[in-house]
Amino acid sequence: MSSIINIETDLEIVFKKEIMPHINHLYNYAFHQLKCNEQDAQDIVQETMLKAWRAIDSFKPGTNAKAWLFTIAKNTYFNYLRKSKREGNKVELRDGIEYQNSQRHWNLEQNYYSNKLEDDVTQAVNGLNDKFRALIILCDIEGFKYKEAAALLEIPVGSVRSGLHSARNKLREKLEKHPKSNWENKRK
Amino acid sequence: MKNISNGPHVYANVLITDNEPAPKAAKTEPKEADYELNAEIQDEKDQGFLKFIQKYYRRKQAPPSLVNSIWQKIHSSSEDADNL
Repeated sequence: MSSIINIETDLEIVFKKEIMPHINHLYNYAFHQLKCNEQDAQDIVQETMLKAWRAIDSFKPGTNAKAWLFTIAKNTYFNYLRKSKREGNKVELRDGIEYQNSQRHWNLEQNYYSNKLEDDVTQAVNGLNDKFRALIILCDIEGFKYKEAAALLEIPVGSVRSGLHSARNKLREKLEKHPKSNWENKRK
Repeated sequence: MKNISNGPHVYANVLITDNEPAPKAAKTEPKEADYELNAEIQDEKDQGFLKFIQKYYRRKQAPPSLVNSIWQKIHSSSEDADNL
């Protein structure tokens, strides 16, 4: 009787512990910011993760794996765009509102108020222009520092700060139909 | 047509030199620490709003099929490397 023993290599353990936990963050960013549909987002994420795997021996455990991974994703995305252009495929950054209208599959009967808020917040973020959306997702949703976001977006840190300020104001405008107390009363 | 190669050039040079604007004060770029401090202050002011956004923003999860596919490719590439 033979048994299959799955022995993980040291590198696989590092990859599992340090890199894989960020896959949902990466997918969320790819899906909402970089590409227009699930298939494209999956392609980008898969290619990014495989590139990360091939380069895993250059990764120093304990350093910022998320920033490392997102940098690979950025390069993967630009390569993907160039390739798509060469092949004549039309690749567009997706329209958040259009996506939102076509992709909703949540139950409006249950937790109506919470879901309504989720709809509105997600739609408001997705309705921002590319730069503002990237800033909000990277800094406010994914928790990147301004310096890290600046490196990823290849813009000065000052532009991150001012852009984020404007992006948040835009978001407030979009969400102002909700009682301000929704966020005001959460201040400590 | 004006003759531009005669005397007034000398005066022109002097005038240009005399009217040279004073050198501008060197522009000081904010230090990185300033940005971080300002960011913290701004984030502190926006804290309630940020919590609200983070709470209600709908995050997209990577589908399990994608995760499986990545692991399969990683395992198979490890096996290929072992067989070399």
